[in-house]
Amino acid sequence: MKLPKFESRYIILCAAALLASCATSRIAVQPPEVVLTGVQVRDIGISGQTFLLGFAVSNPNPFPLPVKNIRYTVMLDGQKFAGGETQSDFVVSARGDGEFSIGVEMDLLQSVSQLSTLFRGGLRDTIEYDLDGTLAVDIPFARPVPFSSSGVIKVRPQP
Amino acid sequence: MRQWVQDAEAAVEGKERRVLGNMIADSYADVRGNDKADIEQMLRVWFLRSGNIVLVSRIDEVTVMGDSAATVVLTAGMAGMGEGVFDLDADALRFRLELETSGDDWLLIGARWGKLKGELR
Repeated sequence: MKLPKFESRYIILCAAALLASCATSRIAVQPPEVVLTGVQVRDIGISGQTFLLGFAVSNPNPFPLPVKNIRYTVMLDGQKFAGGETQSDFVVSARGDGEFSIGVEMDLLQSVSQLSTLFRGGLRDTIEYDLDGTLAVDIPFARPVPFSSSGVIKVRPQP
Repeated sequence: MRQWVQDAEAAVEGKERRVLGNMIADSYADVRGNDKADIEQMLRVWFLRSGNIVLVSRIDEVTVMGDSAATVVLTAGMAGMGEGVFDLDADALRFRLELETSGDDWLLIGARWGKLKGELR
């Protein structure tokens, strides 16, 4: 049976629309979101001081993220505050959240900087931050996943 | 054994998760703490990324122990990487696969991997 010209065009259009919807219904892989949640003075000594940086990570993907290494740079009030690389061993569950913290030791010279002194006397309650870095995941051939965020954090003095 | 590696390679390139799942023993365990479900999740990450996967591998060593156990050491690299999230690295990795058979098909029961000159774990 030969279909009329109109019907055959309609069928071709429907098939094309179906194929297009299949192509776009593919799950989009998204980068994890990492934010700085706090900076706390942990220890003040003669030779320097230790800060504890708190982070929250959110994984929007339908698979867990086994994180094995974190590289980060934290800017506070537009100035570089801390940066580095640290080994880790935690898993952020699929579509789940996690937390981690990194201790930063600063020597006397760094400690007397303007940023460091902000935390000593409770001169400010909040401070703006910019965070950049990568999360290396324990999946063969997977490149480190970049993250970047900005916001405002509360400054917590030494307990 | 070489056929098993070729089949696995073809399944990865074809993004055939079910085929690969059937090549992994339910009892799979490795020193990183992964079980079969974890390995299937890793495959999912590979397959969710856009673009094609081209796996290039070279078998370095095959050891068969008795009739039911074998290890395969191979070097593998990915080609055809893109620039999106969770893209794949072009650096080659070394794998040590542990396989077992009960008579029919060989099944992966464990694996270690690492950089070419690094420790396999």
